[in-house]
Amino acid sequence: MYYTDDSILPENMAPLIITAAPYGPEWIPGDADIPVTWDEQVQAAVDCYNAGATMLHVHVRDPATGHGSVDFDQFNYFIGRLKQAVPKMILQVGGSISFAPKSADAKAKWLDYDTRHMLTELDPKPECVTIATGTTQWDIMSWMSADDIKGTHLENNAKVQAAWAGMWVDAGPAFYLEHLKRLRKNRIQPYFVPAHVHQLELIERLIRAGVYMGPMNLAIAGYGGGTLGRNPYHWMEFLRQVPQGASATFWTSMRGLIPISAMAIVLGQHVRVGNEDNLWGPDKKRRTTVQQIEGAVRICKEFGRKLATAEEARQIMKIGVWYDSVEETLHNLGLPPTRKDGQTGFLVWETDGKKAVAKTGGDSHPMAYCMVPPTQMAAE
Amino acid sequence: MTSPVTHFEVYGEAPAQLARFYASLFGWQIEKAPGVDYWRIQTEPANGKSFGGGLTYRAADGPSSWLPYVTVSALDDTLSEAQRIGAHIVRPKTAVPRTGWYAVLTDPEGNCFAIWQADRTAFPSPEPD
Repeated sequence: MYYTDDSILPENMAPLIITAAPYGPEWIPGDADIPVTWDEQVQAAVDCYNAGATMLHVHVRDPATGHGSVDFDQFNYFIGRLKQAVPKMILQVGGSISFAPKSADAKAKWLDYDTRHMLTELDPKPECVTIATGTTQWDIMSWMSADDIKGTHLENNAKVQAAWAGMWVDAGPAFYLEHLKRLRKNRIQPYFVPAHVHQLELIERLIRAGVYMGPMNLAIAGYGGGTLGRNPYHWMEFLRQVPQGASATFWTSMRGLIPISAMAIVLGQHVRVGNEDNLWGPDKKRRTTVQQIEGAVRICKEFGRKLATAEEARQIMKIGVWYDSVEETLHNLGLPPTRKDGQTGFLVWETDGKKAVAKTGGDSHPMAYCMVPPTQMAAE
Repeated sequence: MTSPVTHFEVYGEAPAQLARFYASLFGWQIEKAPGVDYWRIQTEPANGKSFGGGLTYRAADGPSSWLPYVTVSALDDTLSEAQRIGAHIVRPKTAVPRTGWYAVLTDPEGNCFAIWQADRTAFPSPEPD
């Protein structure tokens, strides 16, 4: 993203979208504020919305087993209840799910990645499904301290820690090419989760190849252990490469989430908070998901930035918008055009050579507009 | 103190159809629990002396017959003793969230049964997804 002199002023920033992640699939009720029954899971969404979150990162916990659900029908049931309870919230379903077939007939039909592609067929449809573009190690234990897991079932439990340390996300082209195709067919927007800048490069190549044509909403995945770490310079370099027209959320874990979220808020970016990522406040005392949302709201207000309403969040993320060509996608994202045969040099979009009148009230600031004189002067 | 049989489960590939079969045959009241693949059976709904039963999809290790549940006071102890005298474990100790623990065994002749201990603190350990 390109920052002009006025981009850093809070009144010029897009309102803040807070994503809530209140379902902590890695925790059990004794660890944190974990909802288990259907009513509790729905109420968690309502509480997050009332506290200021406008997007919900959805995981489904099977109330009968206590484990993360792999039941397609349960996902549909829960999304249906969420649509009734928090109709304005943007539902972003976590994409790391392989659904389990229930019958021998289904087992025979579901091949390879079909158990994951079924996320594109959820009914009712969520607004977004997260998608990883690139296989990545996710050793979430690599930077967790003893303090981070104090009082949870991970404390002094080497076996479970080793299981989480061995986590990795399988997302090669054999998966994501087909998944993106099915998401488009079913009009569910992908929510990208690049774990480093090279996965952002992959997304741009997918756009230039015409595999994906639509708005770019993403969470920069700074979870350590094979994904981006906590070095602010690395975050800034990543952010520098995010297209001007994209919507970016800063996403990290445990107490690192607090300063990284503050960075996101003052840089005009968006945040994700909740017990899936963090259990603590800056004072090393426990914070519930709702308390973490309230904390982000406080920072936002103190800095003078507006908190997004649900309607504004949908506009910022261009929910429901799709593009019909590579060029339209690149143009809307503020990316340079694709090189034509024989073209040399660094590329810009062709114009008639005249300066346009600057747009007002937008949240993007293409360089060309910086030098445009006021209308009355241009007419003289 | 003896351990009573308190519950039973029935399994199938098409549990909704199976529920209709038993409701038709025995007059049982069978209702699907919302949001989960579990049908609650009441064998005598009219007089309130119902014997608790359930109906669901057959697990990969599930028996092809009804499964009786015997309530015990200490599941771990019963599990150890059962193995000592010739039982085999089909499914190890498993949690039903905030409700209790169960395990599925076979006796020395291969008959399948489950043991159950109520426990409001029961909960499984999460698995990486």
